Amino acid sequence: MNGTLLLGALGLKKLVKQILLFIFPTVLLIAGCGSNPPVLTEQQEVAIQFNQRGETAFRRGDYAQALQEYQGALAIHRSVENVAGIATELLNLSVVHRRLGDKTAAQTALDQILTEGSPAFSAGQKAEAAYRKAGFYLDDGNETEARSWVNKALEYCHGCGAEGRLYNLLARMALAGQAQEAMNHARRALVLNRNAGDKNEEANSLRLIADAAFKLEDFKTAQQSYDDALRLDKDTGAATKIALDLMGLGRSVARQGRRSEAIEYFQRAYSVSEGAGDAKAMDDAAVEMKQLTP
Amino acid sequence: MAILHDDDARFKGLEKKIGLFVIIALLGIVLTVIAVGIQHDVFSPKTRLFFITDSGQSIDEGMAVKLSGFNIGKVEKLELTDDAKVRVTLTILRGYMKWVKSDSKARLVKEGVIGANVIEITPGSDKEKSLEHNAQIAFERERGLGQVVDQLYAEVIPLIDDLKRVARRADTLLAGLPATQQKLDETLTSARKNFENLEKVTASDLPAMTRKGRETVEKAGKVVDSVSRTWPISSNIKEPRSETLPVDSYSGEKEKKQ
Repeated sequence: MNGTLLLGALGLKKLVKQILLFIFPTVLLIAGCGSNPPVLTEQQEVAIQFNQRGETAFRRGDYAQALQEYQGALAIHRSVENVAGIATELLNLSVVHRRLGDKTAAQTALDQILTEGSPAFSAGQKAEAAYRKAGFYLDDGNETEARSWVNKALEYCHGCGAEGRLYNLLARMALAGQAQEAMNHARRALVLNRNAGDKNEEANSLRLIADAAFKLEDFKTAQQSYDDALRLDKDTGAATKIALDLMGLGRSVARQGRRSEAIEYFQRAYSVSEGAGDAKAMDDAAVEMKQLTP
Repeated sequence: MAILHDDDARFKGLEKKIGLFVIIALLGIVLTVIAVGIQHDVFSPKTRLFFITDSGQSIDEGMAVKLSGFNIGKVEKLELTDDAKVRVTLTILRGYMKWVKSDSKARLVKEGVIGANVIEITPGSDKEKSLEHNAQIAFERERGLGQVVDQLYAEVIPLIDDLKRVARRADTLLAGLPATQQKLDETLTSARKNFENLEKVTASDLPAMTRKGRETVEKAGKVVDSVSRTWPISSNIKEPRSETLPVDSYSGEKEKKQ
């Protein structure tokens, strides 16, 4: 009996030892995996505060204040040669300058990233700057320059975050006369944006596919793509785009002969635009409804 | 012996001369009367108006009637009516009647502070008709100095009463002031003692307590900071970083207004 007890005690001791031998390396492994994030310097913290105040001012429409804050952040990043920070603030300043109506200053800010002699900006940062130049030129109606800068951006971009957006821009440019090419670019952009997890640009790709399909008179595909875009735009809460999706849906079902359904979509588009205070979009929806009303 | 003879040439036609002289004198008197009459509007056509007032006080016969400062007539007579009121008859030169309308009013006023009383008629509005002969005109009496004094007196007396009440209340309050002051002195003395005690306590114990508290908070902050940087907690805490404003590929930079 005593021998049995002794054997049992020895077995338990061995088991506890084995458990401890397993737990100790596991704890060490977990502790090793949990690397601490880098501690921010005082300058970095102040620059981030400038950046966040700039974004807040920009969202509330105070562009002059946003300009001041972003310039403050840029000065700090420059004082410590923080290249990523400099690029971020120059990109932000380009948007703020556009809002203030200073197109030259916007382009100059982006040129600072793209100029060869500037600090070692990464290819991704240069691709982003080139993408913005292309977008600004396209907004201003200069398609030749826009196309040139899209191509430069694609040269810089090797798996960069802007690739999906660049193909969206190409699709947007092709939409006017080359619907099939627009469709191809938009489909490529859709895959890239979906992989990047960029819901806003994914919705843009879907809308561009729908626009191209409509031009190619494939109204069922157009309807499906507008519907998919609408679902994503509702998640991001972009009222103007929701109205565009609804208008596209209305036009697509109208061309399929479903007039009453189309009128409902136009009514929804009117209501969304009214809520957003977009008078032009309201007029567009009203015109479409009038055309369908007998 | 006669001094003058009847046949003296100077007496010839004397009766005629005297007669002519008398006629010329009479004619002169008549013309003077007429001239004075014209000057005093005796011969000008007039319209009679009247008003009724409770009292004839300060209204006299012959008193001037004026319109916009011009004499346009006079008070002709005052009569006592059956109900013991006074009927005052005015004669107005007809030439001025075009301004005396049915909405005109006769007012008894004083010309200046110590001037004579006059009846002043206010011009009527254009749309109203002129008053007819023997028509009644509305009358009001300007408030005299006595009436003004009476009204002031009526308003000032309650004020004086109020002031008297306030003064009595102030007397009562001031009477209790020494006692209140004494209590206040006692309270202040007590407060000063309390503050002295508090000062002793804060001078010795409080700085040490504050220092220890600050150290504890700093240590706790460091612990929380360390824990928050440790995996997996750190993965749930978003590190502050600079954000880039997006530029939309579909609608350009315009879309960002939302």
